[in-house]
Amino acid sequence: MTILIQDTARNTLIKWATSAMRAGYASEAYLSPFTSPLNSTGFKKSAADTADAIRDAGGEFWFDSMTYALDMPRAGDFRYYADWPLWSGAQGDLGDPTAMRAHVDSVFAVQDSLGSRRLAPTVLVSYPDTPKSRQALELAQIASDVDSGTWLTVAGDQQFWGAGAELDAHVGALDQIEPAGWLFVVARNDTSMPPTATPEEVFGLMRSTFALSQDRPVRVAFGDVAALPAIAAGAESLGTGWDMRQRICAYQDFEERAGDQGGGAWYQRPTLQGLLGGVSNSEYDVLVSEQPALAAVLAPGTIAPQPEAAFRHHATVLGNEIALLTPLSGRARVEVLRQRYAAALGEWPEVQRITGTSLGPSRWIAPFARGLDLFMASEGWT
Amino acid sequence: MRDLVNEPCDALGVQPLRALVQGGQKQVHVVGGSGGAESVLKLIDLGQASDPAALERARREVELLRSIDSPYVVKVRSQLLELGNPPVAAYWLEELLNGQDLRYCGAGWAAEQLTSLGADVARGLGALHEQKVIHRDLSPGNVQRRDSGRFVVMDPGFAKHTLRSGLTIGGQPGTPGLMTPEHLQAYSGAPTAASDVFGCAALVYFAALGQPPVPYKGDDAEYLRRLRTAQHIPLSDVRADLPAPLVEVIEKGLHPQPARRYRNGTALAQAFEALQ
Repeated sequence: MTILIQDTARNTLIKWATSAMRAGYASEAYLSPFTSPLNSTGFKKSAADTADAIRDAGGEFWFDSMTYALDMPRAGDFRYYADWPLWSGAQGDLGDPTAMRAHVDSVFAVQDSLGSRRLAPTVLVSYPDTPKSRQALELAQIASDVDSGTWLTVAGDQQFWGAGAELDAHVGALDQIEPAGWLFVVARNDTSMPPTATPEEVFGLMRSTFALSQDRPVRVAFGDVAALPAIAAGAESLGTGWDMRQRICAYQDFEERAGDQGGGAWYQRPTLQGLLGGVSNSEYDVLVSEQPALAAVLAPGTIAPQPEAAFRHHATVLGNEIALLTPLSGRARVEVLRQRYAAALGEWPEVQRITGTSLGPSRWIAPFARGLDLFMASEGWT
Repeated sequence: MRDLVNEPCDALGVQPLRALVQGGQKQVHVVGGSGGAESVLKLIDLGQASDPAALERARREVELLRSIDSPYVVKVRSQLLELGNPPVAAYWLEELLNGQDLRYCGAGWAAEQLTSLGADVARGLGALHEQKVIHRDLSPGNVQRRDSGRFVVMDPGFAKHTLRSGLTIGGQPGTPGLMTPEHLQAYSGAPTAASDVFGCAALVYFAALGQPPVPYKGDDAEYLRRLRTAQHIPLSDVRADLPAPLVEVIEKGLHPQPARRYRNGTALAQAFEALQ
């Protein structure tokens, strides 16, 4: 397992995801009730048709209830959500064990009907030692009581993942449940790419991944390049896509909106393997024009201008990085990514000089490399 | 004022022989039965108890211990009974364990003894964990080394029956110097079976060195700062004579991240048993 494709507001999930699976650069697709309808519309096919198409292409289909999105500030994009049978009572009511159980049953029933593996709903936690974190633990326990083979989602904001000992204790309590696997989500309050990650958040994500991946698979939804440190710590795959909102789980993307079937901005900035980051199309054109040899080293092959081709290239870059790390484990695995970051840091100054790009290594590399360093120091590996 | 020893003894058909613990909320006496068999009478003085949940806590302690049948956990020999109406005390009988608790067993133990201690206590914890019970207050005073050499876990009085809810004993009780990082958490991160694993590893560390891994030195804030990250002197630094595999088991049990430790008592017991 390497690349997971998150759901898209566009009507391209079936076509592009199945293309990716047949071509071997993605393995799974996640459908969200916030982004796709239960029944077909004039714009999108039904969830059942989508599930079948994904499976026919050799991929695995997941239904992710994304219940945690209801906790996001100003959450209100319910154009499809209200049609899904996810609540027997009031939408979002998880106030007691009976309500939690009812929601778990509803989510599992939808997953069963679509042939998806069971992925339990969870709430969004901002600090891992609060009544909200206890609610997340109780909901996870109830889901496990219903089906001990369920996967569990751990959804938190940047403060949650950067919380230190409180995060460790919360994750330790979740670990006692022993689910089939884990899906991590970092919820963010901005949609910039690369995400404005903190070293502490990266460190927390790595610590949690390293601990839980010892005997269970760990995946990072909406992870994209920001999830590479988690891959180094033992995660097996990350979520991405062709839109910004498939690469980042941001509050703004769940706010009420009028229309917007287009899915927001395409994200076509070429991702350069040697930079572990990207530049704009025009900057890339300048690089190719001024320094074709360097461009070829940093981004082997051709990056076609069409959105699907750009995504294919991006997913291939991520897949290559994962393939580099997956055969390794422990210290060696983390050290390889650290070396990759160090090499990228060495390439960025020349690229910046040639292209004048405003987004450089301070955003694409520094917070992730520093988080990696914090993790390595905590393990006594430096 | 009621006689808090003789009335319970009369009700249970036993004779008081000698006091083990007097004063405070809890009293412990050795008593003799009609056949000469000795037991321990444990009594909660509800009249002096500041915690209104004391009766329910005692009832739960007795109930859960009666449900556990392990040679590594102290056995309860009676139901919980109440004295007076409204009750002024609650009491029950436990088996009398010969030997001494770990406070009186010295330090600097050899590897073989440390392994036996770890394996036995972990087995007892495993029996508790199978019943979804967390001890949460392991200390040298509540592990007994019997004359046979077997170690037995006692007094899960602060144990939390995790299958049930509704009983709050307030905060995260524990013994200073022998608490776990999770004792600092009030909500989802509160002690689990992995916390008892830390407690067991701390007892083995204590037996090896004569002090726990995160000792209390009189300054609460300083203690809590060290406890938060389980900051301790690596056992290999001070007991270079111990075999590396044993040290690895103990240090894994003391990992600051509970998800990096053995998950429960049974898993820890298996690790110690592999060394025997």
